[in-house]
Amino acid sequence: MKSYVELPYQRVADSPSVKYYTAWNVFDEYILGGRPAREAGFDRELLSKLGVKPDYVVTPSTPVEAPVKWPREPDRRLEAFHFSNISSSIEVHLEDSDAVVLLEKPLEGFHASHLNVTASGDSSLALLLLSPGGSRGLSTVSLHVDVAPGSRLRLTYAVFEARGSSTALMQALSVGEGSAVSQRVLLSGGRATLSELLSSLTGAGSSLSEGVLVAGLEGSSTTVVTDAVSSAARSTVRISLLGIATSGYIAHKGVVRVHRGASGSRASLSSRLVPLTQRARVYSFPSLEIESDDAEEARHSASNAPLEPERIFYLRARGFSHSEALRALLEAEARRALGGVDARGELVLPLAEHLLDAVTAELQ
Amino acid sequence: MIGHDGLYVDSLRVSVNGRLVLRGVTLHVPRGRVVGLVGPNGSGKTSLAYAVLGHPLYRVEGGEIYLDGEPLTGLKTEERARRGVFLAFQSPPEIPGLGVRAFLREVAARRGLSLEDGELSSYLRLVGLDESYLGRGVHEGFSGGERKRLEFAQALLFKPKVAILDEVDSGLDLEGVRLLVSKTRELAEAGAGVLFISHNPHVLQLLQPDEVVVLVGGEVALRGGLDVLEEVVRRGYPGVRG
Amino acid sequence: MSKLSLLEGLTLDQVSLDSVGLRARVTLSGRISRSLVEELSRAKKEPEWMLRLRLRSLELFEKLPMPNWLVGIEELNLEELAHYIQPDVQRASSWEELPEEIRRAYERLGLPEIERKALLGLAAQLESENVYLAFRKFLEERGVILMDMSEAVARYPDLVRRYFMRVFPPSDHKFAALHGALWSGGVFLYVPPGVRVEAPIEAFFLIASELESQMEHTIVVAGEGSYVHFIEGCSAPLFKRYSFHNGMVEIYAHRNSHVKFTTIQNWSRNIVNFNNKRALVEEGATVEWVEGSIGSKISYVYPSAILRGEGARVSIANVTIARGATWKDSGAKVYHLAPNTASEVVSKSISAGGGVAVYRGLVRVARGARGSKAAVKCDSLILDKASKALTYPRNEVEEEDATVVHEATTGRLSEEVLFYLRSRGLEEREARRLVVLGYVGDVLGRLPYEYRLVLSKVLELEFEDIGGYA
Repeated sequence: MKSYVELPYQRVADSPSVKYYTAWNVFDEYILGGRPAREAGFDRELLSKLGVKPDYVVTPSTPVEAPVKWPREPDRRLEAFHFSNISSSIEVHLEDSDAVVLLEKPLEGFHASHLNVTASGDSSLALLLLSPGGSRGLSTVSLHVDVAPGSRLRLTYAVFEARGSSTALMQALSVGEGSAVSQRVLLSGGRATLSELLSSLTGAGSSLSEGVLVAGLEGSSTTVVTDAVSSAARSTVRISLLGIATSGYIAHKGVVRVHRGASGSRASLSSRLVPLTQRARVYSFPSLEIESDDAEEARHSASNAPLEPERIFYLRARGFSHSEALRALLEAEARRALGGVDARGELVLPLAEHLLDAVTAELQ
Repeated sequence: MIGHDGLYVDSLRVSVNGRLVLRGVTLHVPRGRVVGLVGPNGSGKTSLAYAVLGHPLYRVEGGEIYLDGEPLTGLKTEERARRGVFLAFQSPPEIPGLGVRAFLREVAARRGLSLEDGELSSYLRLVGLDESYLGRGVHEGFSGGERKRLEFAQALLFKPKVAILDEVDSGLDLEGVRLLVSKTRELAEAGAGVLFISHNPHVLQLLQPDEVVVLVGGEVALRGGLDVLEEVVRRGYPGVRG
Repeated sequence: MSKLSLLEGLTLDQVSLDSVGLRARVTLSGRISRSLVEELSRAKKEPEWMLRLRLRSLELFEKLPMPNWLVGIEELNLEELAHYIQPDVQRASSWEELPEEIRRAYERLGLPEIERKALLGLAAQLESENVYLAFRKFLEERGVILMDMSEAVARYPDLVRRYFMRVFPPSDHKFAALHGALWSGGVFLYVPPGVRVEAPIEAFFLIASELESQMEHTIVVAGEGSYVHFIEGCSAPLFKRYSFHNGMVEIYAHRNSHVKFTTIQNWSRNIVNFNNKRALVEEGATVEWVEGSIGSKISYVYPSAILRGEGARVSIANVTIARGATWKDSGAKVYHLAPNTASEVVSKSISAGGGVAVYRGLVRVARGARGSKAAVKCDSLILDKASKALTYPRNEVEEEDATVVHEATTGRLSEEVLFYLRSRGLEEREARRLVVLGYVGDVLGRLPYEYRLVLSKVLELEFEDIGGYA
């Protein structure tokens, strides 16, 4: 592999006015001069509040227990850095089963880990990366998720950063024939949080429903990339993201790509970014690349706007205080982005509550 | 002045975006009474309703608003709501993701009321909405008539001191209007002062309010009993051609 | 020789944004010498400042990097390019020289004599036609300046200097720099404050020859409170001898003015078209860009606006046809820099026969631009298996009290709609035609009546040969 320092951050610039939508310079600090982490931790209070006991705990001392699978040769700096420095990896087989993976956050330095996940039957996986308060470390984690034909998988990722911590989460998900994946991602960004969720719908009749909730608190920089590629007939992709920036920076990028042959496929991407104060910055770059007239539906919509004043007034006219009205409306938007609540969605609600609590607290 | 109960609006002047929309309006909606407010489109009826609720874009340039003798100016919207002022919006916003059930419970809680599902459904049924509406988003995908019904159901549910009903009759069929009229009477009998805003004088004829106020161009053009209504039906609004 | 790379049989993987970084950049062969530029300037008898601008642009052209997102161009021969800049190179063509398909199109379109003459480049004759003479007189009486850019540089140097390449400087990108060095022809239009020119200025007929060149520079200055509608191009297909076009349009809309700029381009299939368009919109002013891009093989056109004054507004409407092995890259860029500014973008593209239609947009709202609103709607219609649509919109918002909304739909002709129309007695072909016209209707509606008519006919001709259409 070419030395990763020589590789570009991205294949192409993001816009004529702002070259990169990602805070690559923060990651560079670790790439160019960081040290592998020794100590790591997690937010104990939050974990106990969630009332969940992890089946796997990945720390800097976890060895490489599984081969690292990835669909593509890394050609970008951070990606190559990550794959060159993987020190922990685990294999998770789900067969009509559920698993919770707790990934500890380095307090200083970086920790690169990898998960190989295979799922069949009716399964679920939760990945929790709940940073302890004072962490200043970088976690880079790659997930290779393979969903066997005819299965259902629920994925829940939660990355809650401390002010000084950073994360690069990269997912390569492949959905087999007739399978359905329902993914919920909750992020509260830190110094630099990058989440690249790449999904390939390769099997006919496969479906992906992705709901992302992002909180951009003060001083944070969060970039979420939701890419979906469909090359199979009758596949369905629905991606919905809600980003709430109190005074942080949130960027949502994503390409929905539909190849020839994906007849009867449906793809929709919706991005809602809400700036709550003058210092918030919200960028969106939802793209569509459609080849041929096979697709039945391919659309996206983006809205970068504050909460509607008429709705705020309506709730206040019913007795809600201004901040209560904001909270109620943010919850309403979050519910829409995260979709309906599944029977087994016990983690999503409390995680979302936690995010909204943090947002509301910052607004006071 | 301070002795008036219910809603008392005194020489109110209100502007929006620098434009004067109310030019010194005085009216009194006593508790237990129904006052009908009519006027052509753009006469300032909704502006009056919004000003009473303290909408941020509506600036009070002069005059005063009292609830049971206490001035409301300077109070935040939610404070006015909690003190018992209720507005049924002419065009209520959709709030997808906020369920009707959760919403009604929250609002009730702020009025010191705790409501069970059974009670909520019964109020909805009163206005002709079945309990499936409890599971929907507030006004989400509701037709015009359904929105009016949900607004009116809230008026009945929250037992306000003063209820301003802004065009709750439009979009309703004959049966719906009859129901509305009888429930409005009941609301007043239960002790609320009701300001019934409509641009349709015929509905008011059915309602038989205790007083009728005609608003034209941001001012009170006529005031009186049902005879005023007949005047308007026969000759149109004063000062308005055609 | 300049070389275009194959646009046939391109797959999505090859054209995807992701693969851009992996594509080879365009190579330049030959060079443009300082002496060529100096000679050009001397022949036009330009003042010192214009020569300096050209030379500075040439330097920038040599320094600036080649954009890596260009598709379809493998190599550009600079000397070949420079050839057509020469003032004496023959442009007028005769009927026999026109390619067969263009001649046929003219006949089918049933154009009036006057337009045929214009199309044949017999511009000089045209300018003396009475109806246009009268209009010119009318403009003169109101103090409107409308003339060839070179003439304007000579007669109104101070005025032109205030505006020439100010909103679109040569440092912006490599092709802007190339334009700055070699520009020739184009129109200078100045409308004095308070003057409203209600009838559209149809540049093609009034000053056709000036717009013939391949790097024309057009400036429209609208004084405070004025109104003008400028239309360039025409719907009928045009044959050009040169193969690379790199024009520029700058609009300066002063306080409370209103400028509408319509471009209809239906050039022959041998052309690569760059058109750099930008407007500077001051307080309370409105600019409307209407673009109809039908011809040429490869085009890159992004009308843009800088909303600098409070209450400034812009609307950008594009209709783009990518038929056959073509690459049509269009879009809109809007910068909201002041409070209560508003923008609206409507983009409709149709790709057929292997064509690729690309939308690239940017809406940027700076902090402090409170109360700003931006709405973008970009739709793409793909008519067959071989064609593609790529949509790349960007929204960058740094102001809390601003609303930016965006919607994009890529679809095909709805089976249900076609079936419904056929059930009402329309033939498949007629049904398709109606649906396609309805699809672009929003944008077509912004054109003056005659243009709309001809453009609709042109669209019908365009799509007649598509499989399934005939």
